[in-house]
Amino acid sequence: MRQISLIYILALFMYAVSVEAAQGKKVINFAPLPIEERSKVLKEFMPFFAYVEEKSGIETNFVFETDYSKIIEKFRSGKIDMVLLGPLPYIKLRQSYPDAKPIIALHEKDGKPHYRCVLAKFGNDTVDTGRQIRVALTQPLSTCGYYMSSRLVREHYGLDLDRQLFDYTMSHENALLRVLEGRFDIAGVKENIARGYASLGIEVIAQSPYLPGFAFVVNTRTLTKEQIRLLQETIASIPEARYKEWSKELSYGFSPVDEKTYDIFDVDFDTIILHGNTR
Amino acid sequence: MRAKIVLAIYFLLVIVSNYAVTIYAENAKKVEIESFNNESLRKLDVAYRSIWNTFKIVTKIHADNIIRDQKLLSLLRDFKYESDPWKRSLLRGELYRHLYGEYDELKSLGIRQLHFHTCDGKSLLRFHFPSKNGDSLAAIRKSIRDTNEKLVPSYGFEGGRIYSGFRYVFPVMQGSEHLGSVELSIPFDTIEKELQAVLPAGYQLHQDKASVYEKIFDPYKDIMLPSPVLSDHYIENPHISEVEKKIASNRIVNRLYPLIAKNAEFRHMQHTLHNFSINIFDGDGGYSILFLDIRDTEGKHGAYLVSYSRLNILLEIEKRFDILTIILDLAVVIILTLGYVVYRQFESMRTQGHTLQNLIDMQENIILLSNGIRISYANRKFFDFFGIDDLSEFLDGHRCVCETFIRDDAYFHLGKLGDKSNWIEAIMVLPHAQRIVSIADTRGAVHIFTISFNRYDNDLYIFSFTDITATVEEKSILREKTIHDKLTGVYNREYFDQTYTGLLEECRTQQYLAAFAIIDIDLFKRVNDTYGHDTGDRVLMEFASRIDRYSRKEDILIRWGGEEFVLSMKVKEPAGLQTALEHIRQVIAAEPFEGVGSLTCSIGGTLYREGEEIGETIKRADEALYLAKERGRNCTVIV
Repeated sequence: MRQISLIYILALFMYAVSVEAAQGKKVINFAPLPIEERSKVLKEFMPFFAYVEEKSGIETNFVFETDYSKIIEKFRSGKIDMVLLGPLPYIKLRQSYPDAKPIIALHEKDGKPHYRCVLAKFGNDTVDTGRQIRVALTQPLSTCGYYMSSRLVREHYGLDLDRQLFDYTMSHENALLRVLEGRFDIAGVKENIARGYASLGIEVIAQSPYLPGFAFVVNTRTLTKEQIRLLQETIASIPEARYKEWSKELSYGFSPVDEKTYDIFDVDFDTIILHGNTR
Repeated sequence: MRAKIVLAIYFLLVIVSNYAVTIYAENAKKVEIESFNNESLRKLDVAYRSIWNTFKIVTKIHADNIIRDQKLLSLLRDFKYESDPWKRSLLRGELYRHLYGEYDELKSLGIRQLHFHTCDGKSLLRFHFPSKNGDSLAAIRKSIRDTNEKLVPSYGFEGGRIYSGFRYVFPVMQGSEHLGSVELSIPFDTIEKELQAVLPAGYQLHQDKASVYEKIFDPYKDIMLPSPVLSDHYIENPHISEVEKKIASNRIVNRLYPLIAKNAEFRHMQHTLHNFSINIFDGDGGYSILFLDIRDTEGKHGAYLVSYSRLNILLEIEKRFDILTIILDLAVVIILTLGYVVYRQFESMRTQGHTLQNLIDMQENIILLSNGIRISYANRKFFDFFGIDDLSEFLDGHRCVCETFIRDDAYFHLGKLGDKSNWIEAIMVLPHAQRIVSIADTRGAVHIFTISFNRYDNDLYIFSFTDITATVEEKSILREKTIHDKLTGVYNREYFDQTYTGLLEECRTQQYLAAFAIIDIDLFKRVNDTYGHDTGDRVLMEFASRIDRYSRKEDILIRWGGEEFVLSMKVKEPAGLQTALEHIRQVIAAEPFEGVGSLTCSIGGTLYREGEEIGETIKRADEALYLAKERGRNCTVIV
């Protein structure tokens, strides 16, 4: 009798474990962009995740990290289930951790799931390619940073960026302002931000092809296929009336990611120089 | 029942008084704290205005430098007349490039915004947000409107499309040509830093919804958060404002928020949109929260500068008034209790007074309380004696009880005052036995009183009039018995012994000679032997009666013993003695005695010699009698 009871209890336990494994975790760990303030992130993403939870039953726990490398490390160790990444950081993550999968792309202001990087300069300035040109960059792992700017400099001026003067200003706006101030000749930034400075005489002088936008990347090791499918369907079907109420990044819409759009990237991360050379 | 009512009233008074004292102390405390807070508010206002005025000078200096810059003026002039949008953008960019260094310097001074406006009040270039420009500000920014219309500087707190600020707007002129305006705005963070240097406290700027929040571009509204305490007010997001970041991590201020929100005075005052202050007492601390009304450039409420200070003095005031309340409460209880005790004592005394009054009224004596003239109190016996109802009735007719003393020389009366000013003094010097007066009662009956008195206080005496009329009468009768001979009714030797010194003194003072004669019935033994002692007694009675009848009025007859009598006399000269005695002898002999016939008597007389003992005088009279007997009886011998 005692043995029968023990077997019965064990069977119940095994059943519970198998159900949990099949259904996946009820709470997922999400890491926002490392450059954002925590409270700002919470304010921006709370309505979004509240909606997701309401529709899918999946709760979200925020994991804050200060830089991409730490996010990627935690992602690999299974402590992060979902992350919001630009294309270049995703490519870097995918190279070392193939189980990372982009599922939903955030739309840009034009309503499309892609954007362009540009080179911009002040309209009254003339770039003298007879000497080293000065290039203001955003961040080392930013898509519009060294990676795309070096390609654009080569395409537009026929110059190697690593032989020019460049520095990281840590934001697209700062890069443009340094150009306005005359401290740099050109800036490598996102197109829409550069266009925002047109009223200050900033003009786009070169632009990249369309690149996949920021995307929610999931950890396929920690989330079940069912959870991933549920998340993707839930987010992709958010009505326009709803997402227009949310903060700027989340207010232009969502769509499932076509992973082929990432094929445009052929990155050798070893060639990305992580520190500027102006100082 | 009465005692219970009084006790209930006492408790009621204690409760009401303590309540009143508590209310009074609370009000007094409130006034003192209000006064303290008003002073704190005044200081804050002065500090704020001083800082504001200092920045007015600082910004003016910098604005002057900027608007005298010829390149700047040239750029602005070009911008004014340039119609091509792209060229205008390039000019804006040039302007940024020209002045960003100046802007960095301004930022180091705490000036957050350097903002150029066009002549028609549009944003030309925000150095704090360069990509945001071209929007019209004239409608929402009175400072910009006024400056560009009136071409004079404009100052004041004001909301904006992005940040609010303490604005200093100056017109930009090239000669007489108006090129627009430039604004230097100071964030609250800078004001707070200066305030901390003058009046250290926690500061926050709660900005009015209409004056500030509603003017902000929608995409930038998240730079403000709803005020944690004031309705329709906003504070800057801690991500933007260092002050708010500091306050957000201030545990005390965060603990005060809900307490402030619940504070009744705050809830009432916050809608007044004027300066006010509240105090929060939270566990171990007293906090003063000041709300300084900051007016915007339109003169409307723009914000509340809120100051949070922990002030021990508030606790001290609180403690002082708590102690004062306790002391006053105790004082009230003590005073009322004393009053109650006094009342009970008074009641007790009144009861005792009644008892005493009854006791005094029951006394047979007349009891008076008087200063010797005017009577202050009298007992019932007094009123009964004089047949009056109360003291006032007596006082209507008498100024002094002494007026009722009968002029009887046997007793004291006002005629015996002598050199004394009042009867009290006069009677005081008398022996107790002579402190006797006679007073007629309402029926006219004379009563004899002995007076005893004791001092009651500095002015009053308690007089006790003891009616001794009966005693005096009894004593008089007894005295009469002891000094008279029972058989004959004349005085006896006892009387002589008591009075002879008085007689001698009287003669001495009246210039008389004192004379004494012994009168003896001749052969009286025969009468007794013949007729019996009853007859003998009747003879003695007749004999005494006859002498008494025929002697002079002032002469005193004394039965000396047996058939011997002594006659004491006052005479002017010795011859008068002989005449008087001889007259007596003759009337005795002249008329027969009933039942025994004629009898004679022998008389021996003598004059008192000054200084001798009375016994010697009597002895000489006896010797004279002896000589009269020797001479054959029925004769008078004077020696």
